[in-house]
Amino acid sequence: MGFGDVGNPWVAYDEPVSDERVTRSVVLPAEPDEVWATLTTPEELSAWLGEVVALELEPGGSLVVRENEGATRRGVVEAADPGRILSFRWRRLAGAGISLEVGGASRVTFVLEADPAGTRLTVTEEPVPLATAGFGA
Amino acid sequence: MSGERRVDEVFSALSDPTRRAVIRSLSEEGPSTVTELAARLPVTRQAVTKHLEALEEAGLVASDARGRGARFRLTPRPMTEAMRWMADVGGEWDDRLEALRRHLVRRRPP
Repeated sequence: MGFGDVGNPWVAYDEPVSDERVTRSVVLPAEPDEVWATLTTPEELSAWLGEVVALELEPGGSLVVRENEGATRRGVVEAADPGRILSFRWRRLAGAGISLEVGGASRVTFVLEADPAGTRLTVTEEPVPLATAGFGA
Repeated sequence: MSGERRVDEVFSALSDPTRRAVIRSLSEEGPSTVTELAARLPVTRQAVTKHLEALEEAGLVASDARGRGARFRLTPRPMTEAMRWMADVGGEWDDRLEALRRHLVRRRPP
């Protein structure tokens, strides 16, 4: 990985990686396949997450999402099991050059389950230590 | 053990977007009365009072007095970076999942 790369060690991950974890669970009025499409197709993602610049739905595939306010989320897909599980590591980058701000790496996991009212979607996000963040390459 | 319970209380207090807004407002504007907070936030005085009670119980805010003139401030015990991270990331997912839900509802055939 080259210098200037998002995975560089000068980006200190200075927070203890503990049991901090965010979990949200919602029931959405759509079948799991339909919800899966909203998580994995660029047009759908742009309606709620951000403009998708890159998305390769396979382990090791890259993910780049442009948010408003000029920030970008850059990540690597870890698992994609259609209709069931999607997980990736990502981090937030804002600014450029000397004012580039790079956020800590975290893992996002979506779990989809059929529900009488549609689909239960559970999302968790948890920090991952820099050593295993594995960005760049 | 009690430390653990305290952390749970803090997270549960911060799980509400209005409470996070109250914290933000106190951190930006300094100690404030219920009336001042209600003027800055899109909620009623009654709602502000209720949220302040929850935040006080979790040890995140304190007041110097009781009654109408009481000013609430953030406690010296700062939120740890971990708590801040959880509050921020939790807020982001609340917003995104709400946008996702609206997106699915909007395109659903009537």
